Amino acid sequence: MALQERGSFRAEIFRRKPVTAPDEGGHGGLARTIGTFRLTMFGIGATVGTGVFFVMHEAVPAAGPAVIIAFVIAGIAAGLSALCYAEMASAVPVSGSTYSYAYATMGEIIAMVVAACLLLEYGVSTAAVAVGWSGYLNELLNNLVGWRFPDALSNSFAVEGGFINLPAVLLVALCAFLLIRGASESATINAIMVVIKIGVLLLFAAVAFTAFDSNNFADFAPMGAAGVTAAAGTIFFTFIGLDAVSTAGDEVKDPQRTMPKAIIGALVAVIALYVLVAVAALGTQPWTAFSDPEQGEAGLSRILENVTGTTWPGTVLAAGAVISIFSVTLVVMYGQTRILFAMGRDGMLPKAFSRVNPKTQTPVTNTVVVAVVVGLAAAFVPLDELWDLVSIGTLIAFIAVSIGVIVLRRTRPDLPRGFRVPGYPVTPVLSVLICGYVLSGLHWTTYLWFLLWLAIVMAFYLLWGRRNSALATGESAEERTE
Amino acid sequence: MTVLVGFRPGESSADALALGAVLARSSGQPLALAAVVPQAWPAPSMARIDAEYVGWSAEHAAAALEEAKGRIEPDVEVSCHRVAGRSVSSAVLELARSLGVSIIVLGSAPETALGRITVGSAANQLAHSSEVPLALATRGFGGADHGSGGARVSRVTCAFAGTPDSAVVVREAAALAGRLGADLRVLTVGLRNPPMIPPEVGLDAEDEVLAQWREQMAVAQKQVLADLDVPAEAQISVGDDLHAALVSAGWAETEVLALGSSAPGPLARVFLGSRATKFVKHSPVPVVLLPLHS
Repeated sequence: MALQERGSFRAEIFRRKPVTAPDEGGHGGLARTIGTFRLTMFGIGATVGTGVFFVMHEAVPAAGPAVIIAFVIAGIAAGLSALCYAEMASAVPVSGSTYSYAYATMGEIIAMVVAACLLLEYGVSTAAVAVGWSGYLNELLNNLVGWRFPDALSNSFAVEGGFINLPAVLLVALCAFLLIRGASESATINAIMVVIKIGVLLLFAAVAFTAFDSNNFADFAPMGAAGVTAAAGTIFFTFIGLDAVSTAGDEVKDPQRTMPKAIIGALVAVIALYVLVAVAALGTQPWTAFSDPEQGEAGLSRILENVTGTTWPGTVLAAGAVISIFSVTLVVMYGQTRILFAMGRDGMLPKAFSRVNPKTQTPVTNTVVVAVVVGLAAAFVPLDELWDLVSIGTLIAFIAVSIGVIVLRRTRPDLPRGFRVPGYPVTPVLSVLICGYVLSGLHWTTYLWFLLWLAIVMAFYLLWGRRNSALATGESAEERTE
Repeated sequence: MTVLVGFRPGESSADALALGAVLARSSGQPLALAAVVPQAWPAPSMARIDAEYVGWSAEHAAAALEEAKGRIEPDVEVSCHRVAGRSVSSAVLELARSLGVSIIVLGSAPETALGRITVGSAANQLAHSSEVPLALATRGFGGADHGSGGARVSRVTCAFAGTPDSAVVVREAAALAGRLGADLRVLTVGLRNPPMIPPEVGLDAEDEVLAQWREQMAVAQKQVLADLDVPAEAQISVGDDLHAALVSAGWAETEVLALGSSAPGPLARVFLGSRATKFVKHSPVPVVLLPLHS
């Protein structure tokens, strides 16, 4: 097959990876055992903590109190995409990232576009989360021991008085170390993290409501609809992780019933929590106060301190944030290494990315490269520059999945699907439209950066990946028939 | 050359004796039994009470050696030695040097679970100082199956980690298998990682890593087998933990697991690495620790 296709450039860049059942069974004993509750916990665990602790400082100045609407819109976009994602995951039995689904259904070059998006969704968000974590760590240290990392060591040089964000680098290094050692997070730890996260956010809401002033909502949408759209674009990253529910398809009991219940359950829980936090936060101070640079670091803790005049509620919240954001960083960084791993196996990246160290049985080189790149971004790029890139990458990946569902229904109606998206074709079309709408709110500079990044990835693909693809060398076909 | 079994009179020695007999028979070498007794005080005590003790312990040791010898099938040539030393390890080591033995055999500590090995203090010290291979019997090895009936080592399985250091161990294990007239198997053991939760990229992401690891190990095994001049079987075994992975490899009736140090130093010494220590602890069959001549 490879020989026939080699002649045609078009056939080459649109070649698809054959879908085969994965070689290794086992799944760590999880086969078809996951019920609605556990699946919902996956969704909440992966979602809460990626951004809600830092997003108010970025999003409220864009939309005013109407940021609440932006939360709901972004959440619905993520929820619809997650449903599409679930059908894709159940139809394409390959190890689950959007990259692999795209490779199996839409061809190599689309898979590379998706991969470029995923590097933003995972890699850049790891960096951004680490930067946000550093703010809460400083707050916690300051309140507990009266010492904090000096400004020069806890901010990027793009911020006045800053040079390097050392705590963020240390977090990334720690996660890399754990991943190299083969550490993983269990369902129990995830459940504990969910409890911690929900607990501190409810604490925040409870304390903040004591200072609730409805006058703060008087000017509800000072920036109009455009402001809401812009805020939704920024906020979107706080819903990343909802797709974690979808990837568990193979192991879910009765996926056709369980999957939508869990996705919608997690979505409702997360939106409710975010809206509660947003309303509580907005009630404490005029919306213009959110842009105060003082709230750019450990924003929610600062609000609590302003409200109560004491430090302990802010300290408790900071402690919860430090613990739970650490776990999110570990999980997201893990995702990044495994996506690059799959690309290395496919020949889309140098083989070094898929080398497994015989001693640790983990992809050590891959993990180190990820840690260095993410660490550099976390050290020297300020938070607000990173978030919009995360959102654009994720939105485009989600749109690709939604389109992929439609493509796959037409091209491969025969494939067995453990889960079919309810309300087809309205759901995937609506998912594309809402994601497109949220996308439209992002600033043009974000598009520029994104296009630049995409151009680099495409150039790499056309010059290197296209020739080294496992499908081109025929290596994969042999390996798979073994 | 001789196979040397060291034991303390009064402690159960059946497992070490059975393993020693099997090794001696397989290699066609005589078996030396060493009963280690406490060393007497260098200066005679006033009432010569020490001499009385020495006399008693000599009798005790002689009886234990006689009993041990009686348990060995007549096809193996047995010599008995009573050695005095402050510790089993130093006494055994000294005797091993003077006899020029090819392998030292010890049993497991009495509290060990059946079918497992624990490295007692003597074994631990010998593992750090012996220049010849050290064999450790599993608890219960001396049970009906292995102690009698002319049992020989059927196969030597060598744990191979896919690293260059590990290739040295395979060569040593091949030499051992040759001396014992046994088959050789190269076994690479992997652990199945639990999935990361919540699953950002699917619950089966680790399966891909494991598949890649298998491919790499298969290539490494092929290379190491090509360098040997004897035929050998290669196997990869995976489990949720080390014991499960080792057990699922499947073991012949009288098989031993050969391990080496993970970092061969300039001296040819058995030195247990952390990895080897884990393998010893989880091995379902007797282990032979190989000193590495780098």
